[in-house]
Amino acid sequence: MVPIAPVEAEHRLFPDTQLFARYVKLDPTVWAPKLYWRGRSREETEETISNRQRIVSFDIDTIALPTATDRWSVSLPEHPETTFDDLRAGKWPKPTEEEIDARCKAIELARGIRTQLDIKPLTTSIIIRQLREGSERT
Amino acid sequence: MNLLQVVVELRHHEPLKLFRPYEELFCSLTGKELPEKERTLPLPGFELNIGERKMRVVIDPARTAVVLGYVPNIGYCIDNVMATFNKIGELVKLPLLTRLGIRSYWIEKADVNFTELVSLYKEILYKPNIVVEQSTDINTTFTLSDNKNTATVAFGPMELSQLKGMLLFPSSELPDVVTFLDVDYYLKPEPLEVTARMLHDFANAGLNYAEKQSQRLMKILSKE
Repeated sequence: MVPIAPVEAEHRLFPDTQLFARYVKLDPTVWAPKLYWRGRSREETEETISNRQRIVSFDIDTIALPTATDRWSVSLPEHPETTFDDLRAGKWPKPTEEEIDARCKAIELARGIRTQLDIKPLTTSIIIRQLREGSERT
Repeated sequence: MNLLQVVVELRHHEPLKLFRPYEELFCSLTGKELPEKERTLPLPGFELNIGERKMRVVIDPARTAVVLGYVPNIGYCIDNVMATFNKIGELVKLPLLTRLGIRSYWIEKADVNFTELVSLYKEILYKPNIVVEQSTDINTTFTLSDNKNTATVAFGPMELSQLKGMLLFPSSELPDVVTFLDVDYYLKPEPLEVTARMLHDFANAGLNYAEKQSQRLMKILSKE
């Protein structure tokens, strides 16, 4: 992809010398950004960036952040490798043969219970009829 | 397409007070604002590179930004961005915003070589003419609007060497040739106070918008 030309030259920036206050004795170039804006907005064209100025940089291994990933943990005995972020990304683990068998048995059991107890779905018309008749029977 | 990197940047109306200690000192001792002509250079910015999280946090006088190089899903990105800005917010009150942007990079592995991918772009996106025929590389950029927000959408074929240069934390398992998509989604309000809800909703809208654009792009390029 053809790189987009940098746009720094278009920005309304001030050289250090224009911003040198009388009571600052350090050479600003020693400790301050070479160029910076002063309470003014940048040009229209500038893109979202992480940094452009000279900055003090530190490298660390990790940091504690109050993220949901750190607050929540997932424990699926059949799938110990599955993490909270997997589930958040919609990456559900593939069920094992045992899990598929167990699900089939559960569905079969539920069907049997529904047949034996004669459970029918509670529709709006059924609710209205029950209210009229003062009865819970369908 | 696969999400590779996310940058969220808050651009401030005025430098953060954290970087103007002399002005703060003057103000607290005298009870007056420091005259404009006496104002000093802000202190240099601060950057934290967090290796294990593949993350960079930048706090400088003009902007506060978070870069994520590990981006397993959109929820993870928003979660980490919010957690970082909440942490920064505990340290310093963020000034009014003049620009709020979320930029994301997406790739899709190409099954053809770079030259063939460039030819495919020419065939699908451009009418034949001498300039198109002679070009050896292509970058397409559009500016789109989404309610009050604007998106600069750029895409094109890319080789591994260039792709690595685009990323802050390049992985060792990147494809040789890809379709690269860069979506810069931003808002340039009148100076606006930043709130957690607004930032959350904006980041969510920006990444979902970018994902939608990535799906549209792949549909266009699949010649269907």
